[in-house]
Amino acid sequence: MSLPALDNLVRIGQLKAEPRIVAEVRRILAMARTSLADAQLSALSLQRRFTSAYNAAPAATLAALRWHGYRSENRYTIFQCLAHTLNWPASRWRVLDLAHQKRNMAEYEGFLEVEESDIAELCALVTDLTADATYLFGEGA
Amino acid sequence: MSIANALFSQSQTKVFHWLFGRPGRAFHLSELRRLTGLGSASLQRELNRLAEAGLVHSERVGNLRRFQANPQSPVYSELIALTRKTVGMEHLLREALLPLLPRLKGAWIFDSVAKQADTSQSDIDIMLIGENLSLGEILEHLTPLENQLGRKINPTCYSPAEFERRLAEPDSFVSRVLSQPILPLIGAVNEPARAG
Repeated sequence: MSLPALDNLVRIGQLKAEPRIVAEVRRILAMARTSLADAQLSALSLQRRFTSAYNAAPAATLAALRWHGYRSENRYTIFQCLAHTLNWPASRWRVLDLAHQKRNMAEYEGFLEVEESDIAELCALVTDLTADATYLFGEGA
Repeated sequence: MSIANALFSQSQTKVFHWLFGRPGRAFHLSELRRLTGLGSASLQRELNRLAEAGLVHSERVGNLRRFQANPQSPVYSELIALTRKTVGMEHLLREALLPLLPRLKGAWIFDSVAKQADTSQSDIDIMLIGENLSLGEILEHLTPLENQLGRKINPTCYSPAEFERRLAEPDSFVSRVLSQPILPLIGAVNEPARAG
């Protein structure tokens, strides 16, 4: 199922075309669900829950991208592709990009100021993301 | 009556937006005509006035005329600040955030733009304080501006309680941001360092 906008990104070298492997997509989605479940464990630290919720985002996003027959290692690019792989508006996928920046600030500058509300918004978004990516199976498999 | 309308004519607003909104860049006449949408005669009249007063530098390259804000003019930095506040980036961001009132309690630009160390590629970093505001909702209002400004906008949002708590921590990200120049957009901030 090729998407014209993503084919253009392949032409300019921002994305790779690679045929869908259903087992791979299922595996990545399972990882996304595990991370998402971890993010909801209230016994864990806010830091750990935020990281888990965040980790589920690129996984579920990559699953959708692989379903359509593409791959990328660049996180911003794969989030950007949500506009085409799952028809997500910028206002939604950009929240994932902001979470990515927040995680980077933690890794490189030691600032991880996560609030309960950040985790709640991210979890709600990633829950939708995982559901939308899973729905691709219903249509195509 | 907007501040811009009280101070500038319609055509001045459009010319200022480009010349003093992007002060580091020179514009060809034909480019300004396309960007401002002004007729040739009124555009040239505005440009001639600005050039005669020395506010804008005009030079001839071959048979093309190029215009650029003149850094030697005594009111160069004031015009840039005035433009930014009334017709440029700050004005556009403020307008875009107004629908979030009254839940939005405060918003300001920080980092490279506020420090005036930004390049035309720099992201615009904005910190916001609000009740029940999600990043998704904020981005719904801000992302439409990104094309117009040609830059990515990165919001960081806190609830008032979260903000107060972080402000009390001397080494927090909030405290670090507020110890550096900011450009206020909405509301008052607790006596932070201000940018020019």
